[in-house]
Amino acid sequence: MILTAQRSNRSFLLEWWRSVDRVLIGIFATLILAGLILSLAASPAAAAKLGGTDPFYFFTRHLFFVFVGISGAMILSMFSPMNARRLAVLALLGAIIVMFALNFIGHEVKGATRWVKIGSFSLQPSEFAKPGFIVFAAWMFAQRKKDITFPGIAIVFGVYILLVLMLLRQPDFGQSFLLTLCFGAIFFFAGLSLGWMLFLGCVSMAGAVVAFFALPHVQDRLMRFLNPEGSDTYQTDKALEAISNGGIFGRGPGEGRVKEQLPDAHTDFIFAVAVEEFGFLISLLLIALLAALVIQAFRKALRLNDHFAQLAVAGLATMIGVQTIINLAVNLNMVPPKGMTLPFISYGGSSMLALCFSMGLILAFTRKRAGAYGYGVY
Amino acid sequence: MNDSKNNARMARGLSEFIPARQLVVEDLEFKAVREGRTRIIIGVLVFFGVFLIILGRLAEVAVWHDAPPPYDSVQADIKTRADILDRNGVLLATTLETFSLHANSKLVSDADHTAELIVTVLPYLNYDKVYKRLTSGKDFVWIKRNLTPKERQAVFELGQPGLFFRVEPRRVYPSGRTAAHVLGWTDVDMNGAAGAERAFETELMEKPGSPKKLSIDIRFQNVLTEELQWGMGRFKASGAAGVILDVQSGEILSLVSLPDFDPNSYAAASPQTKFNRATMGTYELGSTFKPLTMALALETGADPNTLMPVQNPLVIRRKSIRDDHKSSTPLAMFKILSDSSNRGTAMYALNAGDVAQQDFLRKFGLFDRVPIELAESAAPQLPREWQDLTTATVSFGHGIAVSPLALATALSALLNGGELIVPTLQYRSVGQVQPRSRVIKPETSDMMRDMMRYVVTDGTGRNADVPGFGLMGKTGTAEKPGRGGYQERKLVTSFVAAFPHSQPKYLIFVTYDEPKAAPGTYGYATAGWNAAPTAGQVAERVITLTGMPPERQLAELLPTTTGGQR
Repeated sequence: MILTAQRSNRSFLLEWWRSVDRVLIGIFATLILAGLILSLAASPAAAAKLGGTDPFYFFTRHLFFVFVGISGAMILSMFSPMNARRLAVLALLGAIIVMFALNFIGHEVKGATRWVKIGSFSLQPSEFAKPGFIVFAAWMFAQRKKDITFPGIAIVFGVYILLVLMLLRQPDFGQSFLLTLCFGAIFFFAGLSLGWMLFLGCVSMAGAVVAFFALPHVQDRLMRFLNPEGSDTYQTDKALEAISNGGIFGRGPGEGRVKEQLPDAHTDFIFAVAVEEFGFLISLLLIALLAALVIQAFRKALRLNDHFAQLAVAGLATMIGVQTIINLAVNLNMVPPKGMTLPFISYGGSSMLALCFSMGLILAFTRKRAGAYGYGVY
Repeated sequence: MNDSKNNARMARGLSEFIPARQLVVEDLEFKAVREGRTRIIIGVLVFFGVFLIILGRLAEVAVWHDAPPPYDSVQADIKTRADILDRNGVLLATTLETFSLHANSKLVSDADHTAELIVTVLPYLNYDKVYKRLTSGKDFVWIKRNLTPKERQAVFELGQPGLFFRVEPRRVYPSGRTAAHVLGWTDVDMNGAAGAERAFETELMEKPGSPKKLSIDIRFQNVLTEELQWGMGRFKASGAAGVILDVQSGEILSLVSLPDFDPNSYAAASPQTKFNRATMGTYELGSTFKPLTMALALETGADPNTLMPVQNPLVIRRKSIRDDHKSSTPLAMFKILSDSSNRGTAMYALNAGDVAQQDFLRKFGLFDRVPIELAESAAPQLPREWQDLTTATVSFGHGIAVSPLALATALSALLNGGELIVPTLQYRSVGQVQPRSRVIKPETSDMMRDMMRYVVTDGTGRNADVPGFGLMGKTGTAEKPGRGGYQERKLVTSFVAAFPHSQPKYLIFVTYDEPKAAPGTYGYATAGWNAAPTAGQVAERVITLTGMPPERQLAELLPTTTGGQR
């Protein structure tokens, strides 16, 4: 207290700059920039395929979302942890309401009702539900630790089941999977007993089995992944072709060819485009950056004293990390296609905004403040 | 928290009882954070592990793999197709790589200028059409397919952006029109669409390395085409067809249909020229049918020396059967055939009966389509009902329409010792089993050889003779059916020739559609004046090509002889 009082310049922005984690901001900005560069490579091909006259149709929109996303993240990072938590819970509530409303106003794309149309943009509320839910779960668990009588687990479970049911209804198996994994991770970080972990594992296993039999498109995708012969694995085949074309040094910027045949070159398969043009070494750097973001967030979580902030940051980092891993695994044909973007890199309005929102939350929770850091101090 | 307060509390702790609730809360929060840290470290380690697995997989796909194929290689996509050869190994069809010019109109900077330049090096292209394509706004437009290497180089040297080449296979027929109907053609995607290309599609595609040998002899094909073409011009015929058969093996040595087309540019050819008259066209071929009726008579026990009353009118169902060469005396079988008497032939058929006649013709395959490999093989047009008048007209080749190849095949069986052969377009090596079935007795066949030799020495086929080679033959002149009966001025003339007499090997069948009288034919347009000399010319040239030795004149063996003069 005495030390902070001695700072000469107390302007709000400078105060923010001193307290925020600048390493995270640096990695975040680099990733966004890399995404824009890759969007320049991949999105004109995608725009041409859709028969648009403007080759920069997707790039312009990408730029717009990046601008809105970064601004939002920066503003959010200035919030106090308490206010940030409130906002996250509000986002969760809003997302649940909109997802419920989707049944009536939803906009169907590729056989799934995940989008709500606002003007020329379509938003996917489930993207915002994920960070909201993670923060909410962290809050509930932390609260329960403080007060053993608080029914935190029951509340979180209720919200989780509600969310998963709504996601499966859309249907969105990939997001349900991601949500379940994040939920499990927070559960784990929150130090809940092995019995609970086992129970959650069984529930998700059962859920996956039910989804497999109840949802034809999930079954179809999995069967296609398991027996590629005689089925249409066009996108993953093309992605693998692009990656192996790239080799160590890549074909060179703009020299990629497979992107012209990849329908989702600018979204789910941007990584394949990146490897084809920039090669193994640069893509290694890209993965390293994404890993560094996740690890840095974990490092901050490790040192945080506030149990809620620790769980929330670890949970959000888990979400970004798992999403990265799933996307890369899909690009490398290690898991069946999921419809998941590469965080901060892929084109996709909702995903970009939601990830920036998550980033803003992480920044807000990890800001230096009195008593936030340090081992064993209480 | 305040240091002094803390100190105070700790001091109190040593001396007083500490309130339990406060301690529990503080301890639990610390315990949770500490345990959370341990678990987060586990989580981070798991992450590291998975990231490493992903990196390993990335390295596997991107680095440790076979060298990526170069982008420009279109070669892999080229469909290969076996060459087609004639029986002596002459190349009839092959596949070449050509360059197809296409453009990405979005990359063309100056469409007007580019189009102008393209037209200067490819003058057969239309400027407006090229310009229209270059300004179409599409990524991919064809400008011209199948350019030669020279043309490609010329376009390449224009140095205009937005123009691209694609290597495309193209089927090429070095013999051009000569064997057009035999070979057929392939469509743009290299699928056999007609002729041998279609008939042997599977074989050509499955074994692209081993060329397909046809039974065709391109030299014979050339001779037959040339002579028919010359005759078509001389007699102003609307069409012509010809077949050369090996009567022993059934191999088709030559198959010609005129007017013809160039299979190298089949798309530009009119449908009439693509029509194969030799196998697909069916005609009432007239008197060339008569040898079959003679064989029928002999097989059913007729005596060739019995005189038939051909001088008397023959009226069946109020139709009078007329003869071109009227005879005032009764004639025997040899003379009936050599003078081509309709009355005599009809009498033989009526004596044999309609059932025997139908069975006989069916045995010779004349009631079915010829079982050759070509898809272009027409079924005959048979009489709807078979009365005594039908028996009479069919006996001299009217009222039944068959393809020239069908009749040539049937006539082969009369001369080769009495066995029906299966005509084929595939080369048959010596010693290969040849499907044959006996249809008449060998003695009948011997008699037929002599009888058809007599037609050339003493009858309507004199104009076909080739001295020294014992040519056998038969003319056929038929009026074409039209509205309200047969048309006297529209004829189909044909001639069948076979040689050598001692052991027939080659059978030549030629036919003209609507030939006219020409200078030197004394106003006649009948087969003896057009089809017969053409067949003779073809026979002479084929004999020269084969180097066949001349054989003894058989004229002295025959009962009435005047010698085989042309």
